[in-house]
Amino acid sequence: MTITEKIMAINSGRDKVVPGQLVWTNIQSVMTMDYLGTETFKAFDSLGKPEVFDKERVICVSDHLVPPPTQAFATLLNQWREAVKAHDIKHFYDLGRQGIAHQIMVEQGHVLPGTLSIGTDSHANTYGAVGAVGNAVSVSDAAVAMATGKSWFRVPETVKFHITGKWQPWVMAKDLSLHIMGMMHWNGHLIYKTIEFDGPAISDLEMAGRMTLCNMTVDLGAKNGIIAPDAKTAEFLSPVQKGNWNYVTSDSDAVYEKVYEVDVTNLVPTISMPDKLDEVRRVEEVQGTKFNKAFVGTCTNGRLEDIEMMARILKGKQVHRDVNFMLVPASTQVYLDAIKAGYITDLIEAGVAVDTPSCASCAGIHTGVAGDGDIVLSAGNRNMKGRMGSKNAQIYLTSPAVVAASALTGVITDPRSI
Amino acid sequence: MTYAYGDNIDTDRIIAGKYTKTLDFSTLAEHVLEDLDPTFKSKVQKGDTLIAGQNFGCGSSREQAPLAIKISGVSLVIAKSFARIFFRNSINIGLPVLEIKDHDIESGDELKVDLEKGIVMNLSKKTTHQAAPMPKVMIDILQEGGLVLYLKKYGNYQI
Repeated sequence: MTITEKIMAINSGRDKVVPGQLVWTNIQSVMTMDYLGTETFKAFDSLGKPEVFDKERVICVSDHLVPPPTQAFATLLNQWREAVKAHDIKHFYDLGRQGIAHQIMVEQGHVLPGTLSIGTDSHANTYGAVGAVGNAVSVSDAAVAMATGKSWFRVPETVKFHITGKWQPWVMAKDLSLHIMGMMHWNGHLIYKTIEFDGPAISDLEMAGRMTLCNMTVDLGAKNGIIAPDAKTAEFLSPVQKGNWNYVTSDSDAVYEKVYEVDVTNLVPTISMPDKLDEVRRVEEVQGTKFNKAFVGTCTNGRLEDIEMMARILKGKQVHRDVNFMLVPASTQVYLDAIKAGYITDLIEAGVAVDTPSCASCAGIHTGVAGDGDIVLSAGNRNMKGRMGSKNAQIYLTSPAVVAASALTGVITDPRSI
Repeated sequence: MTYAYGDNIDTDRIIAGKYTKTLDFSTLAEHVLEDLDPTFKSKVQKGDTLIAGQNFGCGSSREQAPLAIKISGVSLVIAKSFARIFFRNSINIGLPVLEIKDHDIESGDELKVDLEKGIVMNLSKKTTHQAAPMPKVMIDILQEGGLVLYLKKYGNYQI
């Protein structure tokens, strides 16, 4: 069996599962957040259960709406806080301790290798970075899992991406994500599938890059993305993990629907064109294109390593006067670590605005949304029309290195050229 | 009536993020598909069918996307393929969805549908399509009006 098949078998009490089979599995953690959480608790209440299945394993996070920019959001947040309190939830990451839910789930050890966790937000695929099955659901599924500790799944076929070669300077995991997007297109090949990443170039990636890679598998259409746990995973989790775990990895005779090979030695800074996630170019092909807003943050690229990359490029220099640059760290922990490392000082001195952790403009409803005519260079995950606010704005998606290098010149710039 | 749209219709185009902070039905109905087809909400009627190409409902995990479609009056969505979260959410809120890989249905085509068997006859083009089969538990969840109502009735999944 593949790692995902094994996790589904183990957690549904079976010796073996095959793709297409329906299973009812145990869930390690159920995440919900300010945006859909109140409705999730309402749906849970309608089931008539007195308590959630485990108050330590229902994780609540404020990320889409904090700090509230409008009265309407403030009122929604009050309802949310009431709901969390009423259900006596033990892990509540609210304003002051907040972060983007997916970052929190991994960073705070609520996701464990060899288990399944679900969250009411599409980028729950991120949890695959630590060798877990992370799955995005919505209100009904989360409410039922809160009540039962279980959820149903169709065992997906596994597609493997075997990644080899040596990472080149200024090339990041995001470039690989976008490269694969351009390779596969949105043509349905990966819908419902598990994407398993392995190979020496994956072993070389730190947890931040693994999270980026697994995060964007949802945007490839996949059910989940996963990387088998290794020594780096264990080292990352040991100070924070909320429970014990076992190494679960793919068997040597596992069956894959398809195996793709990518050699990162040849990978270059990569960019996705406005409105079309799968229309992907080498950055050098669009070098010189003007833009006016730069954004680094989100559950895709708001981590310490991303901020470090920005600081390496921007330290001692100045953001171009025609560019408004916003950084929104993915969590309070990331923000604090970046302050301690001196990166935040470097970036503020360079002319980058830094805001307290949230999903920010990524979902088009919070800090730094795009208006008519904006051309945004973003290190986020989606660029469809209207995604960050106005449908008359254009969004290019790329890596934090490309955003930072471009912010210096005011036009899209390959970081290898500066 | 059938209304057909193209590939990769994302959840923001089904119902934009700014309208989805609640499950308030009137807000959802007011803005369903407005960026894709501003005339949709005024012409859609109860029992109509929505047709799409590949990867329908990609993007966000918001349950409001299928809910907005259901509230608009649409009683069935047929697509060449669905984004998996949208497919799952549709079942969970009781909106029937059929996946037909190579359908020829265009706006205005008259259809005859057998939901349980997954057979769709395109009377306008005189063709018949067989949808991907749906497991029994999904049909049961649909028939109960969604996952929460299903669980209330049975107390557990019957897999």
